[in-house]
Amino acid sequence: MPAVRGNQPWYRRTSAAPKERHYLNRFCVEPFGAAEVRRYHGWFPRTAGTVTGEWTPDYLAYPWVAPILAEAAPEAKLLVLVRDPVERFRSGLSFRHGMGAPLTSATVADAVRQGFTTRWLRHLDEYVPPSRVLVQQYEQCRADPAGQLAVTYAFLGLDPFQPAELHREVNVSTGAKIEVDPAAARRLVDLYRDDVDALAARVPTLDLALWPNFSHSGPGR
Amino acid sequence: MRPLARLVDAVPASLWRHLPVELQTEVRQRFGLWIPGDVGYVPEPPLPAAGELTGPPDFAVLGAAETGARWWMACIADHPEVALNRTVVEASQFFASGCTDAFGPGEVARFHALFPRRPGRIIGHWAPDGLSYPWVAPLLAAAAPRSRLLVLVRDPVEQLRAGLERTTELRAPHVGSNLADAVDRGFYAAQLTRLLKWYPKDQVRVVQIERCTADPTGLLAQTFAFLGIDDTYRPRPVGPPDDLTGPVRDPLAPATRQRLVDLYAADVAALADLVPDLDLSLWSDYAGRS
Repeated sequence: MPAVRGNQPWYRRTSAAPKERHYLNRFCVEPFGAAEVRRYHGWFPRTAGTVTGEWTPDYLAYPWVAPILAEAAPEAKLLVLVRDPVERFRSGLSFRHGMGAPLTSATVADAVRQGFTTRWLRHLDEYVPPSRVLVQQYEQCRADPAGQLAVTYAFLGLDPFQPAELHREVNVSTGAKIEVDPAAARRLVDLYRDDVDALAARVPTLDLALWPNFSHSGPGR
Repeated sequence: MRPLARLVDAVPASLWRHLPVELQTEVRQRFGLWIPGDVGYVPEPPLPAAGELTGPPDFAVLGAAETGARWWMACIADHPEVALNRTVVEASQFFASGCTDAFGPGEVARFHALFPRRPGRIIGHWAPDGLSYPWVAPLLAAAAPRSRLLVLVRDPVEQLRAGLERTTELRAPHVGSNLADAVDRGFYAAQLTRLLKWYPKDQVRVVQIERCTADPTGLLAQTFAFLGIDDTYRPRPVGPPDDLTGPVRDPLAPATRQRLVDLYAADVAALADLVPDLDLSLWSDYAGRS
């Protein structure tokens, strides 16, 4: 359940899931019962002794997903990848625009909403014990992929392993970024500050020095 | 306007409705036809009539159409001390579409120009996204720090159901981001808490639309008193729109409804703490939970 956009697929491919599923996104107002659970399970064939997973960017910020995910996969471990929310906003909006989505306030609102990681983690807490959730920082993963992947593998109960393509970036964004006025970017920093402070208090490994927009935030600062 | 754009602009609304809303938007924007809600849309202010002054609105109504906000705004506008807002729809997205833009004295002046009124009259602004889009409140507070705010709330599950009915009519696909937008609007307590960082509590009044439909005269009198205008005035009776009191066209499946009720339960409880006169007996899904 990553709350990240940008160059994350290298990380995804070296973990478990081959592809984003988005399967649970539609079940906000559609019935979700035993048949839907079975169909979901059908996406994850595996041989004995291996684990499998999926990686859908929106699950964290779509509040109806947490309860149905907890119902469909009550033992699943959840990986949450967080990124500087202002940079995530720029990247997410640019991605959507690059895919042809017209720029409307609703599109912008969706990009803004996804950055309130602590809000969504608190919501997730209502359905999934925190011990089954690992929060990692995108910027740390980029700086030290081997070290961070070791953390992921350990959390998933897997033996240490270093994939060959670990340092190869894929899906590097090449399109133009949406322009955000510097004053508007500062307003976004202000909007996210409380959430980022709470995230720093919740996730001791979060390194705010890697989020220049918030390097003066955090507990005790 | 270029000739081709003029041609596209002349296409009747009845034909546009056959296109999915995202395609409508793409076509419009490609021809430079911006509407409220498009990023980059700037509303034209009305020409002030002789004797009219402009300035920040005296009040703002925050709430999506599904909360009955437009109906309530129309009821308020019937009061003789309230000036008609001539660009209520055009100005409704003034802040919503400005998340990524600069906002300074020029934008504040442009906003104030949207509210001409004669001395002695008050005027209001309708911001359907003012509560749910987090960047709107600080901008509104910068442009209209003394405005009184009416926050319209409705049973969140009913609001969501009505919102989805509306977007179905608009042919907006019920994909994740549209659903997320509709669902998010019902988390009133979280949004109100955020709003209160920018406005003092005594400038904000939460109006439960179910109380308004049950007793419009009484609730309008309370609203007039909050706005500082004659609260003995009795407006012409204007019934609530069908989507507030009429039959439900597309009811949610019981299991789905229960999931949504549970989803909002904690926020509704928090709202009841924030708003002591919230009457949860009017929200059948939450009656008895306070």
